Amino acid sequence: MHLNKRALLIAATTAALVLAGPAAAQAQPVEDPVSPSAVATLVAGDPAMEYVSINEAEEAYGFDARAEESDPASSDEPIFMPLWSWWGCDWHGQADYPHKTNGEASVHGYWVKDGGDCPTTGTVTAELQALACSSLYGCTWITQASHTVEGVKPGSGTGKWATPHKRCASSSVVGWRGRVDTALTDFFDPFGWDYGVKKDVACSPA
Amino acid sequence: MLTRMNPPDHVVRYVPNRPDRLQQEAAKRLPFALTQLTATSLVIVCELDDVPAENIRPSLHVSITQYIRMSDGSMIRLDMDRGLSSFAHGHARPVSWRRSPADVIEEILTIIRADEPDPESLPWDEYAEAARLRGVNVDASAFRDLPHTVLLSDDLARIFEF
Repeated sequence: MHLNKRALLIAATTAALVLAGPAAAQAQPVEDPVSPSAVATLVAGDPAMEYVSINEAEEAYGFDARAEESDPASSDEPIFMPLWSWWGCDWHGQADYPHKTNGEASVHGYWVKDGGDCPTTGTVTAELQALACSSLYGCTWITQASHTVEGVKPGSGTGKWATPHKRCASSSVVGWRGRVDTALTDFFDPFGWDYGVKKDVACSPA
Repeated sequence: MLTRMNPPDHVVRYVPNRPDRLQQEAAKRLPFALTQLTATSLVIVCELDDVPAENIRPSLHVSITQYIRMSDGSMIRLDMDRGLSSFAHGHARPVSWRRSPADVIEEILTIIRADEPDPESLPWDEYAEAARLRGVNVDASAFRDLPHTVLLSDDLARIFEF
């Protein structure tokens, strides 16, 4: 009888995790109560803050560029994902690596359909972030520019992508990264940011 | 006509199979003299990149390194690295990154052309400036006449299921 109760408990837990969706299944306790966005505010407010390369951040400030550093979910509540959204549509959020063109750093964010029955349009938000360090608060990524395009069809190219730009004050080498959020029109959207690769670019933000 | 010979060792002379290729083979052993070379093409090399730790969802990251190929076959990296990240959304597991070669190449070229006023044009002026900084004098108009090639690594060919 004990075994039956245990089996029931396991089955119920499994079912709850399935219904709650992958975000709840992967939820981890947050050990550090200070979110990256809060740290970014502190670092940005430090008069001694400087924008640095990834290598310099690691060597001079002990920053671990490979460590996970993303904003935690805005709520600890489980995310209930409608079953139809699980098999209704597969798509990719896309972002190119940060780069410098004509004296500006930029990234491009867009979405592409992969399969299934997807909405015909989506809203894409792309953010461009630079690596800033403070001797008081450490290093973090500070958003330099954000761009949202609404109701865009899938695919790359002009008119389909979000393109945040930031003018360079100098050609000093600074760490940059892009992040993108794709929200398909009238589609379930608990997904949040996807992070691109961090790259050094010869551009210190103006 | 074949003739059988048994000469003493000191008169044996070794010769190339193809005497007409002698000059070309020897050239590969010459010191690298950039000023004597001419640019022959643009080469765009795409390779699998590391995955940033921040991502929960499956993602694929492709580095794009651009080179100018010289007349002796040497490739000089232009300081114009780019890249492309893809993030999988939806139910399909395992995630398939399957794409056709033509689609992948077109997207890579679209990314490279992204900041050009003419979306069909590669950044010729930027290529010319980057090449000049590397000691290769090719103006933008000459760059336009050069062919370009997109190369995808074995890893990417496997992941894209070519």
